[in-house]
Amino acid sequence: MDASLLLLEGAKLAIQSYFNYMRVAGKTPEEVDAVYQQEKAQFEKNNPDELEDTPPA
Amino acid sequence: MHKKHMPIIIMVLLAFLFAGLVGCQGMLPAASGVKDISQMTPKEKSTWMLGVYNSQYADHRAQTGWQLDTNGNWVKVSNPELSNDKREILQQKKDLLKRMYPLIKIYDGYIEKGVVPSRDTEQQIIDIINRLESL
Repeated sequence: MDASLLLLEGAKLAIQSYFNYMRVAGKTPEEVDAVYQQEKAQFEKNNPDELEDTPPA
Repeated sequence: MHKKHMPIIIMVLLAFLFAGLVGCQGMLPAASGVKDISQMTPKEKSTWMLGVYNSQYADHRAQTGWQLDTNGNWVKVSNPELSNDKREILQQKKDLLKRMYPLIKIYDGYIEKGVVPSRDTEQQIIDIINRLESL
């Protein structure tokens, strides 16, 4: 597998993880609750069984 | 160094920088108001986990040609050509997200009931996030 592709995927997750962390870091409980409700509503729509299968062609 | 690798190198360096910032939060003075993940309340952790899951899910959808409509539903808009390497990574990502989904539901169930979540469930979710990162 192409190493640069793996690095890129890892880098993307690290950045996304950091930004998700910053969305809750240092917030008041009310602000955290607002973000929580927003993420949870989207989570309910994000069923992993509905993701496309991508077996090697 | 080849020009086409520059965006990847920059992104990796940024990722290390961000990961370092997250890792160093515990060393910052408490006055900064920013907590280490391990010091977050269960609800803050749950919010962070939901956010990581949602962004990984959205990334998988986007790479396979889907986008959110105005009602927040996923709609197929294109059929992107994917290399075999990419297809394999996306398949692994789907498998990890399928494992993560019920664990987050369990973790979140504790939050809804106002009960402290199981440490074991929390660790399993963090392990999957780490595996996603090392894909």
